[in-house]
Amino acid sequence: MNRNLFFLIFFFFKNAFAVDYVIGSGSEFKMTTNKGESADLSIYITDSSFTKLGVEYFFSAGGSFLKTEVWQQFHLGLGGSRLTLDDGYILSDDMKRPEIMNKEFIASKSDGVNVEDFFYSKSSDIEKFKIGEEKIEVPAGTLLTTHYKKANNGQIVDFWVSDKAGAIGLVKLISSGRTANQNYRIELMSLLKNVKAKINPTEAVPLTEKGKFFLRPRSK
Amino acid sequence: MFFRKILIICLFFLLSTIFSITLASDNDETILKSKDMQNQNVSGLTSGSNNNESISPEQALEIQKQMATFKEKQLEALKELEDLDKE
Repeated sequence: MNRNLFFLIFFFFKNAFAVDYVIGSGSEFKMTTNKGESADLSIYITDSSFTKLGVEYFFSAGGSFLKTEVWQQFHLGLGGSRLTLDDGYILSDDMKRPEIMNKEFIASKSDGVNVEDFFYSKSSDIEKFKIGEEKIEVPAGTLLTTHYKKANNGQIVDFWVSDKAGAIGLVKLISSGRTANQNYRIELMSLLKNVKAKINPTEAVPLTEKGKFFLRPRSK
Repeated sequence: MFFRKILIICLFFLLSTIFSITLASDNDETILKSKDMQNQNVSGLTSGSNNNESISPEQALEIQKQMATFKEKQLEALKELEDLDKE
């Protein structure tokens, strides 16, 4: 599932050069799988400038007494004609310091839809995937959204976005595919503001076996 | 560690409750639920703590104080909302 989280970064493609990304703003989601597993997922801005965008994920899963908390932070380059994924960090509640995700994990790809599939430099790139305007209800509220559908290698991702849904823009996402970890849904629970980043990249150390454990592909 | 986990979970849910203020929309304008984390980590508690240590009695007391403060703020916020409704 962590691999699936990785590609969620695509939400920033939407208006990568048009939205004012306020540091600390973001969204809280509920993620559920077809197997009945659920997890809380928060995504928020940690850094924002003309050439760089920092985003952090907070992922919390498991029962009340076996809770796992994982943070991942990514830095996107906005300087060129296309969005780039420059560096990434990971931290769990069992790690003392954040760890640097090496290129192997940043560049790794899943069998289905990948993060690069959602990096667009202009709005016309995404318009061809538009299904239409739809009013939908999620725990955060009811709002008018734009529905898109994207597929790759058997994984189909339907997602609904709205300008009203803050910096992240995502309201709902349904992924379906051939493998177990490609079947899940995400719904917006609440918008967030003034979130303090958990990961401080200056404190990061090279990736350990524990970090690799969280990043390795899960069984399909 | 076990005690600390329970405290984290309790505080997280408390924070979630306090900062979740559902604003009903009386027209077509979309108003989504919003949480102000007030410059805290989104998990609510784990910032700056050594995750391999149990929580001390002093820390537990501090958390209890914070929880009491949050409850007060929640009541204040609710009262303000009620006052606004009356106006």
